[in-house]
Amino acid sequence: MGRKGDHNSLDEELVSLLKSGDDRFFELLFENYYSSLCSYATVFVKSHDLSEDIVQETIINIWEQHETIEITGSFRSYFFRCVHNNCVNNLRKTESYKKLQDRFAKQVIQQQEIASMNADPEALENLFREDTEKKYMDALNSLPAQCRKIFLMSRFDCLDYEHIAENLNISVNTVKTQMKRALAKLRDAIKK
Amino acid sequence: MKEINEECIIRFLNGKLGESETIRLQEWIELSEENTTYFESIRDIWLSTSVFVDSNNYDHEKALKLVRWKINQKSHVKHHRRSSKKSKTINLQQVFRYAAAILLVLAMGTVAGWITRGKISQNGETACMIESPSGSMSVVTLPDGSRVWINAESSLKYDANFNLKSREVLLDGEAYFDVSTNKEKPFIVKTPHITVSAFGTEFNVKAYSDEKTIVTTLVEGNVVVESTDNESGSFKYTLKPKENITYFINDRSYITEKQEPKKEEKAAEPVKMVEPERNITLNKGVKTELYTSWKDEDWVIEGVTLDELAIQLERRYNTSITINTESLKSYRFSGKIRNETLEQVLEILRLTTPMKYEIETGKVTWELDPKLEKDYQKLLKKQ
Repeated sequence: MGRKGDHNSLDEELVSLLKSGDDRFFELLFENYYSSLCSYATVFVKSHDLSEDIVQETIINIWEQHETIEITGSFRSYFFRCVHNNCVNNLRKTESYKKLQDRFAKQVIQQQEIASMNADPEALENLFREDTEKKYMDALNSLPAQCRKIFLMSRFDCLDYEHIAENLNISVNTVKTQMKRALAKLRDAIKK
Repeated sequence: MKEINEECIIRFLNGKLGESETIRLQEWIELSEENTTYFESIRDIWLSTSVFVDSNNYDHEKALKLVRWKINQKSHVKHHRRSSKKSKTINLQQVFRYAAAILLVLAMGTVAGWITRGKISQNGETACMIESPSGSMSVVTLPDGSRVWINAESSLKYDANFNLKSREVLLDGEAYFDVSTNKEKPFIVKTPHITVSAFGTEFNVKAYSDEKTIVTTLVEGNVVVESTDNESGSFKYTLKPKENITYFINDRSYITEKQEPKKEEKAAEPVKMVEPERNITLNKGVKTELYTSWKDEDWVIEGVTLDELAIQLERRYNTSITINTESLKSYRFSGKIRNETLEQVLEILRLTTPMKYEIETGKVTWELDPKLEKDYQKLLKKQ
């Protein structure tokens, strides 16, 4: 993944491809940002399928406006914000969906509400800042290897503590302690 | 009762927390500012990790194809809508003729998962095959720029010579072709029994090997359809727009049987020419969307018997459907289906035909619901 440390030139290229309606935009975007956008959306919508749908729709919407689009700030934060907004908008749609599948809809709405609770644009914007990224990556890299591994398994493989313990052949308590450690370090790093 | 801790929050963020626990978590978060801050700090770690760390947990290549397809699709849907608008009112009148009531189901929720990219396998330089397994659909752009939508349980093959002198593809199953214009190189679709040639046009060919007919429907331009079966009387016909030709594969008994019920609804049918001697039926002025909309956002169905519909649903949703009551098979369904899940489609059918259904994993059974049927008969008499 050649993107690390080179967001600016990648983002510049994406913006120029997008504005000129060059469809190589998609290849570049999907290769570099698709997974990140999806796992970001999953925090709000709790379903991998739904998050992929939302990300894809966001991309299509942005592409359809490519002639008139004005991107303020970094392209990356613009895109993540769009996905974020669409996740929240999805809530309204699910309300009409409610009439069809009541129980399911209720749960989705609830989960989205909690996840996006107080997620004000400013706080989110803070997450995308370059110095935040540097601090965050430094903190993540400074974690002991096993601690980092446990954290990433929890974050990306969505595994419960028991499953991580099973997988690594360690005790659940070890997982707990290591997770606490990872969370404390990372929390400090992204503090405003 | 377990207390709320970071493990619980993480399970929530990962979408693994049950309903009642989620409610408890929500209450806990709202209990104090401290709790809210704690929850948000973990959530923000979750969010920022997805922004800063590559996870590769998603198939971005597959998603890229899908997005390209959706974008292409949108322009297509618009195009079709425009040409089919005129028939809207007639449409409704016809629909009441059938036993089923019309039901327009609009898109809610998300794009269904049945559109997935087919497998593309390449044997060296010699051949390329694109396959849509059951429950999926593919769209490909061929080297000449032509686009092909490949329906479920279908495959398309072409070899390395494609686009050198001619453009030849082998079709098994159903596909919709949007052929880019090239007067020098004909685009030829081969099936085991017929061949369709075109220079630049849009048409649909349905040639499933487990069905007794091959149906070619022309949307625009013209195509030549000819049989490659020597035994059953050869034919060659140039289709004009909105015409479709059905070729009955070497089975005469099937023709008479098949034509019988269609006579009753003659008023609803377009002008028809039957040539039983030659095993073909030509329909003029057909609503092409009935034959091609399987690939679109709205799948339009009109007067299709449950018997036939079952086969189409099996392919589309990768399931198997058994109809236990013989008389149920001849009920007809009309409607529009847009991205519905199998369960939703079954629910629509249950509301519009006297049918009850049961779902097991990978299996669906349909039965006549006698009570509903009575209500139905009453309703029909009133009309």
